[in-house]
Amino acid sequence: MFINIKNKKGFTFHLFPRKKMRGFTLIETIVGLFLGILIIIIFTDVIAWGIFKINTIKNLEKLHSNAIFLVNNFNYWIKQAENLDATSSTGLPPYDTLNIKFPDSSTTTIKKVNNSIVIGNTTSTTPDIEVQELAFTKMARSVQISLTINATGTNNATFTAKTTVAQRNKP
Amino acid sequence: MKFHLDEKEKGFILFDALVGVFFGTIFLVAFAELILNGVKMSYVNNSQLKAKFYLQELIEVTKDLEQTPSGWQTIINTSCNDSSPCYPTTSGSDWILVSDPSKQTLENNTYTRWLTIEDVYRNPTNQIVNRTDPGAVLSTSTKKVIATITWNNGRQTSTLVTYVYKY
Repeated sequence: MFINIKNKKGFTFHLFPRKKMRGFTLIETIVGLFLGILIIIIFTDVIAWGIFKINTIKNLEKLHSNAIFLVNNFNYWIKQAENLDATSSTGLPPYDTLNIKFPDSSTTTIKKVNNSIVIGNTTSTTPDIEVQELAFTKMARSVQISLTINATGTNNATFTAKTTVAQRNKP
Repeated sequence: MKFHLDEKEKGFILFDALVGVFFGTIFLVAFAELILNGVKMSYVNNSQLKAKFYLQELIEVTKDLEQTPSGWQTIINTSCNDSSPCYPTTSGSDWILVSDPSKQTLENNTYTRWLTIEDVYRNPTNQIVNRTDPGAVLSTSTKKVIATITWNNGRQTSTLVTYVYKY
């Protein structure tokens, strides 16, 4: 809607009523911007939180699979052992090396090397985990195992396992 | 030139924004719910795995004890029944069983574990049978071990059963 006004020279002007002007007022723009920014902040926050949690879940799954694999491996070797000897580089507890002797006189070693676990000559942990603690306590016919692992480069996922494995081949 | 919005277009931006916020909210809620369930499942797995290792330890300790005469005496002489269950602890390089009705708690009462030891009966053909079965005789060289662990305030329980034998 507009009003036509003709001047003395015959030109016609279109005058628009103020209330019908297009666009937003300053208040509307500020409120709109405020709400938009608020929505973007909430959206970004939830997505960032979700991505962090997804990474934590992935890391925990890595730790679980590594822990199961390691304890199964310990079971396999310790149950076959005729004799065991828990040692450490300092000779004092915690003992992070387990020397295993089998009935056929062959031997193997389970030890913590830097941040991984080596059984014989094979590294038994994946590169995406770090072994924080590995401790063996030799009992009469079994070995107590304490294991703490965490995802490489993060502190948001740590797993600690404590268990015991009995020997079955000790004479 | 006219730049007015038509009557039909009035409020279109507001409507668009409301629809966008509505769908955005639905997406965010669904996303958060998915993540929360994933986190919950991950922590459930974590607890279960730890419980498995703690429970395995109970069985392995009895497998350690059965292999030595003193260990076997520990098995048969310690009162490990439903009213007074046992848990293992170390004494030097030996395992011993402690009879304690309050059971063993681990990780600030997160886990509670215990084991009970029952008599075993065998029939004349040496098969394990119930006490009331005909010809059932108490076996002096076999015991039944029942290891139990509870966690999540007792809402989750896991049990393993095995037999130990005098070497």
